[in-house]
Amino acid sequence: MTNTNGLKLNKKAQTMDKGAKIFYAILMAFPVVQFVLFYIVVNFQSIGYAFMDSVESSDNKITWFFSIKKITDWFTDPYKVKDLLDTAKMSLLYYGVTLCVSIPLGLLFAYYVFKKMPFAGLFRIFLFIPSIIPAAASVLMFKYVLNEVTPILFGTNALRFDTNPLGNVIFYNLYVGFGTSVLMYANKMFDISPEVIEAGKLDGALGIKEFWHIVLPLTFPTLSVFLVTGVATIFVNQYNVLMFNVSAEYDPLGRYLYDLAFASTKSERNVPPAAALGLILTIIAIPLTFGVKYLLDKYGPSED
Amino acid sequence: MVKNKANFKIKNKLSPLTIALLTVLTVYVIFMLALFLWAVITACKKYSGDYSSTDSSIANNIVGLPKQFYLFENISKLNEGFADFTLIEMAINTVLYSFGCSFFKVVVTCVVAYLCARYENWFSKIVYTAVIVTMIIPVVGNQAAEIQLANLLGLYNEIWGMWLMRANFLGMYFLVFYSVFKTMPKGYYEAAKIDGANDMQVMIKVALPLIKYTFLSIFLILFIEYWNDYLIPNLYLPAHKTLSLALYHQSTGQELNAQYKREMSRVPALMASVLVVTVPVIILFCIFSKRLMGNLSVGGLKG
Repeated sequence: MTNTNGLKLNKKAQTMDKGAKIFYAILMAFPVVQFVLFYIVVNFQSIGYAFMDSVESSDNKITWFFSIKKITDWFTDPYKVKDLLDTAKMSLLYYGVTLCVSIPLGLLFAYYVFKKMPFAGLFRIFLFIPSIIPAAASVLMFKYVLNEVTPILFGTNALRFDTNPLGNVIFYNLYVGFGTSVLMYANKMFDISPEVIEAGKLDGALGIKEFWHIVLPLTFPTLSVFLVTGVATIFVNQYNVLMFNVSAEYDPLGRYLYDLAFASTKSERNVPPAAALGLILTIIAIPLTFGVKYLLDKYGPSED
Repeated sequence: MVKNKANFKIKNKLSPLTIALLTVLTVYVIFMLALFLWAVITACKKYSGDYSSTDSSIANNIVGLPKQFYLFENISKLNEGFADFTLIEMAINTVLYSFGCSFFKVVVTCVVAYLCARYENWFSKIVYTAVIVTMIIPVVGNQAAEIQLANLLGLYNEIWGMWLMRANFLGMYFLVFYSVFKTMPKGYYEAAKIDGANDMQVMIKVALPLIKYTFLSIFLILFIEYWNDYLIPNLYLPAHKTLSLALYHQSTGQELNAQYKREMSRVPALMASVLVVTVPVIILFCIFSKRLMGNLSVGGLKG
């Protein structure tokens, strides 16, 4: 009886009256239209452009027609294939460094903050600051200090930015990349129950053992989010090379895509190549993301 | 016993791992401070617009202190190279772009999350699913198509157009708001209803005041993100130069000049521009550091 009444009450509470329906519809209208236009329409339009080509007549009239040439170009045109392979190689290099250096270091720094080791609070702030400083500004500071100050201070050109642009771009991205991740890992670590840490201590888990056997598995859900969402960054992250203004040989895919998008601001005829590459990369990125998620779910450490 | 415990604590804190991390972090902080210090000192040095000059004071005094204070004179050179925009215009563009985009984004996200959490109907479920799906599926390279659509709708190259384009409810901040609204006791809403409040009043007077700090945190994070952004304005707002974009154009344009003297002569102006773009963010961080740093958690923020 009580249950039945309870169910009826819940159903009644969930039923919207006319005023609530109008209120709901009015407030939802703009966000839904915005979503339809700038997500659904844009993505379908992008797919449409990928299968289009155009010709321009002598009177500047553009005629569009269906074609898969812009897609096949990315597999057959030797210049495009070379560009794609070169930029993909650079993207994988930047991503690999992030995966192998930035993430482990970020976790160790977060552990340092979590254990409240000397000056932990101060380091927490200083690790965060580079992530809020405009990249346009910090890249310039970094580049000029390396180029102009280090030769005077150390009497050698070895540390100049121009001596080793690739190494310095990688170093810069490591330098600015800790902020948010360290903060998130540390905040997740602070959620670990002190009883768990104490129990670990009684079992002999101290220092690196504590980090490896207790803290890391319990921080894994946050790490997993970074790893899964990080897959897409292979395709879109520019690693600040635009601001560094380095040679094209160091450009990752993200920079290449950005240049294609920029070209599309000059003429609509430049849209199909960008849309075609976007479609190809999306087709690669989706299974890759789900694959990483699957592997992490299956083989990642359990919180239990 | 107490002594043993204390000894253990010190030993634990000064383990090789601790010392190694402390060293790396100290070097990190010193390096960061050195960059800022050099930028500030250089921004105060003499700017020389005379590119043919070989006696530029900066070229002869790269690491020393400035002999005279030229900071404000250097700041006034920010718009050099693109005289169509004054410093004030670029500052206004930056504020309008960053404030508008972050404000509308956070308002739309917050309202939609409230509606989905408060009214559990089939449409709310679709919206919630849409957010999750768009977060999981990475869509790459649709900017070119978006630019065309913006052009078609008359939004391209308009700051208000960017507000509309960024005013979506997608992304992790939706989940943050949603979880906050979801955990809010329903009794609050029901009490307000019994007191005669309508749905709008319940939202504005009951729900929104309870999430004001979450709202502020997300707004600040987005504001800084848009303030720092030069890539999107470079694509979408060619006629409305922002400060970060101006800095990007100024630096890359200047670096086309290969001659060392010529390059160095403009560095004080460039570093003054760096300060103009950076100082507002640092001030914001100093005021709201706890709010900016304290709320970040798994996949984003917690309420």
